[in-house]
Amino acid sequence: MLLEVRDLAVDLPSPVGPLSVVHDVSFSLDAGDSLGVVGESGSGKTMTALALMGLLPDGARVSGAILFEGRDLARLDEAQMQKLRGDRIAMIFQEPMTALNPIRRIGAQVAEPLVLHRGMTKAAAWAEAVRLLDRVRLRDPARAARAYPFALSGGERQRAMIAMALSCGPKLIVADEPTTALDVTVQAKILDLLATLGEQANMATLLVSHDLAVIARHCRRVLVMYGGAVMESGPAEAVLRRARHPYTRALLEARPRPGASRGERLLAIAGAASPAGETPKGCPFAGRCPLTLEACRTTTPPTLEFETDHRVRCLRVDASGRLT
Amino acid sequence: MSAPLLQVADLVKVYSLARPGWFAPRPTRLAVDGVSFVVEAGRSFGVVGESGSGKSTLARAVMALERPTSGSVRLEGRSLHDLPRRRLRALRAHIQMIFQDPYGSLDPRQKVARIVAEPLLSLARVSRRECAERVKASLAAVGLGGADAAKYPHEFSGGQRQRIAIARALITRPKLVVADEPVSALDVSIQAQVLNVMTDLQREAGVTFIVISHDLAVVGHLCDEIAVMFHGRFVETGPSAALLAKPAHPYTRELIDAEPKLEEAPAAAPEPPPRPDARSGCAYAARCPCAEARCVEEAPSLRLRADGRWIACHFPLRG
Repeated sequence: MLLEVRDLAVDLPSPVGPLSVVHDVSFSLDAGDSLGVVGESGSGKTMTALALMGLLPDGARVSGAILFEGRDLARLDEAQMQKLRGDRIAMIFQEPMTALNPIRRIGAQVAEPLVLHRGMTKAAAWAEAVRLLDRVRLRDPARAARAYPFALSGGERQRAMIAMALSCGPKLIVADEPTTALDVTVQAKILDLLATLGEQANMATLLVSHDLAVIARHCRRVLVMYGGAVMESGPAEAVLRRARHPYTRALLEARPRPGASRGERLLAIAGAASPAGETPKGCPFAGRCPLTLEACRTTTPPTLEFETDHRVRCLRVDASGRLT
Repeated sequence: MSAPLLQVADLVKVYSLARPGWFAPRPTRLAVDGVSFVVEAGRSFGVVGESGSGKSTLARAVMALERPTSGSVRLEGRSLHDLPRRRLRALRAHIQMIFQDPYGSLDPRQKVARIVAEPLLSLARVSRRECAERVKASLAAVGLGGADAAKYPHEFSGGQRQRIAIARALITRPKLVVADEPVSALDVSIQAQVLNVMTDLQREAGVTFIVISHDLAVVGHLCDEIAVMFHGRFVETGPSAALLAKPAHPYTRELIDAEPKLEEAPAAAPEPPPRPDARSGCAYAARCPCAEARCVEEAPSLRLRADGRWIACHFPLRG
């Protein structure tokens, strides 16, 4: 097992005391496997990703274990984390325009991890950067390496980001909404590219997205988060076709389906996600769930497992996996 | 026969860009390249395209926020861009807009009542009592209560804010509402609230929308007719259901295939080989999997097919 996260919790400081933004999150990821983390804004999905990278905001408190290649990342100090980051674990951010340095050439930025982690000379690293840019199928990689970020299109910038993340041959790539800012046609190509490269290099991917459909298309396993906790997890196929949790079901029905009759009513989820830290007790979805019982507000539901690896946390789901 | 609600004819918008050198001529960019369409009252119209396709420029021209380089926009037969300023102001009550970002489009320091009443106060002369009643009715139409009028925008969620923006657009009882990416900035669970409000308004209040979006599913859900835009031109238009079920233009096909779907197993689309950029021919030829020599030489024009769809392609897809 490449990565195992056990009972991860993240508290962020705030003027009114620590806010719990992630709690009771556990999952694992095998080498070369892909896991999608789905959630809306405030679900804790990005904080979970940042916790893996050791990039949480200042003052954040992490508890639980993040075992990566046998080491607990939650206990490493910043210097040790820096050695891992960009080498064994790499991250792809949402907005390549802000994640790339606007006044450095693309080639230099892609080459940087090679100089830092592999001790390559600048010239050797540059040559390798051009090769990497070719691998992410940028047209005319030598020219792209000499370009500044503004000269590339959004899709090209994201390809350059992927090249940078791949440079040291990481075992795990964490991609936080890598295609949200891109057009759908570009999105499909970028995600396909990420999947192909992952397979070739036996690299595991953790894809964070608000879009269930994106995850369904590109990940083998899915983790549905809401209010900082995992609501449902399992093989993508099982979670999407036999969704048990009311929240997952609501997400599936809230989107207009292509091919459905025009103007058909959608299942709207009443209300809005409660701000982080407000529901340490009970189920975070209790306020908006159509099936809420009194108990949902006070007791934290146990995690039930049925079929292989398909887990649900809901009081209304019985041992056979049916909603009661 | 009366004039259609909106008629756009041969609309062209050219932007001039910064000079690359002191004496160099200004380069230009063709944002909208000869677009024509008709929107009948009660039949919502959707425009789909990628960023840079010119769809937002088109929306701004329809709203008379942007003066087109050539071509005309007629609302019930009256040309928006030829009217004197005062007459145009009077017409503005009939066309309203909903913007993408409900956080940026509502003034945080004004109460909801004031935000919603704004178009009414600036475009029409109404008594204070009528104004208050219209605000209430407008908020009720989007599912918000009268008590919400006294609150500030920060007290609402993203979906509720977008509904406030819709209430503001509706208060002048417009004939046409242009919605530029109405749900893109919202979470999935919230999008449904806004889409449901919009379909209710179509059905019950007879509001006609022009929906501009990159999201085919949203446009298909809200609109009777869809136009697919690529590089400033419509490449295909037709009734939503038929167009989505059987796209005739390869670009429409590409958009539909690229949309991630829940029902389908992962499918990797083969990447078409890059072709030399076509200057004279079809703008899509460089990316098109079915492009042939003719596509690079000659730009296809929009042609009406027997089934009522317009397609700009030399080799439309069959079946």
